[in-house]
Amino acid sequence: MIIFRQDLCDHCGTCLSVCPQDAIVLYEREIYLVEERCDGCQRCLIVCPVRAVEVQR
Amino acid sequence: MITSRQVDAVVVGAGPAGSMAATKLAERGMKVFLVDKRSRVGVPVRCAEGVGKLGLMKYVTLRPQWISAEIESVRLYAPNGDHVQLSQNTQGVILDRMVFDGDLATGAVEAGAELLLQTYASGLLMDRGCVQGVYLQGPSGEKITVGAKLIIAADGVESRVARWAGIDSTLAMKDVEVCAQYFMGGLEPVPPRCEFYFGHHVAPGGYAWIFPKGPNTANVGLGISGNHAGRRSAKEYLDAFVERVVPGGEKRSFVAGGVPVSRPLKKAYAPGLLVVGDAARQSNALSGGGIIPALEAGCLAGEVAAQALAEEDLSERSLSRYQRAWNRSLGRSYARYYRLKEAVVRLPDETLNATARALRAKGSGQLNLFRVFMTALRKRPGLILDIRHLFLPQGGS
Repeated sequence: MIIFRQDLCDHCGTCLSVCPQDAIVLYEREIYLVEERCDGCQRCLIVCPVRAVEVQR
Repeated sequence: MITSRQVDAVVVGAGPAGSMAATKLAERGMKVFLVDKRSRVGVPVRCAEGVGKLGLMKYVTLRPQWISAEIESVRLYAPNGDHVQLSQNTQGVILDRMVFDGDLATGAVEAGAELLLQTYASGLLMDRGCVQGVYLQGPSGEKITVGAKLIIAADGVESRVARWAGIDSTLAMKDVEVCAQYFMGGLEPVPPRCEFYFGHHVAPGGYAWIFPKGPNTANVGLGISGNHAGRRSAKEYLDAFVERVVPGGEKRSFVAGGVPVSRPLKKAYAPGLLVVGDAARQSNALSGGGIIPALEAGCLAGEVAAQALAEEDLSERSLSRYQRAWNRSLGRSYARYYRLKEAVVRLPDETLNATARALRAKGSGQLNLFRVFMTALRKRPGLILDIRHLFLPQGGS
């Protein structure tokens, strides 16, 4: 289960650019996961420049 | 409450590409919305702000308030710290993009476009496979349905609009540079010089940069390839770089961002839709530069869009004129930059060190990127196989 750290996120959108499932929604200062679309590939977690993406089991 | 509006075109994203497209459309008498999710155009920008002066002048008349610094030289640092200095045949500047972007959007408004800030595009209105409009969310969350025969997706690296029209613009991990940058102050007098640092331990699959902004300030950042990310974040690499290279400076602000380093989208259009700038992956894959291709694509798209609207033909066939215009102008060379990028990221540190050593041994004299590249080639002849397409008679496919 992918978790976004709102306190660390810079809202840069890099995670959206690599997400194959269009599973992330990004507003000016908020980011959300669309859980039903996420397949757990963790590309978002790997690329995040500020480590704002975590995985919770 | 849902409001309905009807316009000729909606441009999603008020960066350089979007503002340029909206300006061209408005100049041709089209009713256009230019929308951006941010509260203010140009804030924040995720950009090192370096750009070639001559390239920029093709699209705009330069204003002094756009220019933070004029660049007189470029220095490349090999992994072992040896550097080579390039004499400038092209002038560069470091922009103040907050002012630059703001002025471009103002230009669109002055031409007749309507600027909607704090406005988020949440979906496309589709009818039988053709884009017919866009769903917007306003500053107070109010829903606005805008009917428009043409949508321009200028929504940057995080782009959604093109995807909603069925164009897959997902970046492969090797085709994204993950970047982090500090605006730093309190530096020793900063020379008018752009510095680039290479090395697997510095910025794997990318490079670090120091771009002067003022007498004692600079943009200090780096990008790492997505396929080298994971172990350490871009910010972690940046903090290590700053501690080693600019230890006395003060970190005044921070920004992160992704830069597409893929080939540009082969098909950056669909019925009723054009895709421009970073959203169309039109940045230079070798340097990461995206401002000039954004301006070029914005101009081309705005002009093709205005023509198509006047002819009332928003079909794929009609809009394909945009793709052909892009291919003819920057498209071919940008495909080449991609192949160069693919080869250069594979150069081991020893090759870069040997290249710097050879160039320094030759002494100064007119050193430019071509000579740097040819020296690297001699050190690693295998490079020629990687980029053989560059040498085909017709200039590659």
